[in-house]
Amino acid sequence: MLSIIVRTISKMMYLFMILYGFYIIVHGHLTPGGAFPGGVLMVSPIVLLTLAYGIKKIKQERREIELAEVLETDALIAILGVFLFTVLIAKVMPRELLLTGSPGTLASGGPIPLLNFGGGLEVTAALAIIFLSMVFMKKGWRHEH
Amino acid sequence: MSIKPAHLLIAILWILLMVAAVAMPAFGSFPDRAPTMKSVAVYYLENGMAQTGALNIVSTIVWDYRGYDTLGEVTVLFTAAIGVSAILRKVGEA
Repeated sequence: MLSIIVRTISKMMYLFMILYGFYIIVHGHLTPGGAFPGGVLMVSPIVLLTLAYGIKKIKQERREIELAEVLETDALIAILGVFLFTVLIAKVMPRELLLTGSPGTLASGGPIPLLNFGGGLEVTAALAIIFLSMVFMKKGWRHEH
Repeated sequence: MSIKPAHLLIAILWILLMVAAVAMPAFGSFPDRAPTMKSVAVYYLENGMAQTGALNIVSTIVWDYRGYDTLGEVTVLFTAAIGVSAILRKVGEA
């Protein structure tokens, strides 16, 4: 566990970090960035909070463990389904039918914003699963209902 | 120490890599191409925004022109996450 300064600042800032990663993902077709950097930015608050509060303290939180389990079991499969669904939409539909704003607006770019969104959520879920698995799944961790 | 076939293979591979490295264009020079036969990169730069409507040319190439490649990339990440979760899990636990 780090000092109270780091804990307070990380507790204040983690929502803004998630918001910034979300902004990078959503504006992936307009500005530099996209699914992969935005997904990594959305995972970084989890790493920061774990570093600031320590593994032992995080392990006591029931909600965190349940969140990790939800991420592992359901979310990744669902998100990959959403991603495949958007790919199917994008390849079936012509580029002229989907999100036809003038270039530079948010609703432009055809299927690219949807693909960025699905890919960003997938990257977020995958990196969160890898990190939380390495934190939680050690010797002595019990799966309790 | 006797020369094994693996050493011979490594030597041949090293020679091939050295030949390829010498044959590369000089650092910082753009390879010459005739203007009539445009490369695919020039095609992306000229037609990317008109064909997709997205301003970010990197997103255009990654998600549109080479969308299936990116789908495979994301699938590799998915497999990595599943693998880590499966290996670190204790045996017999859900």
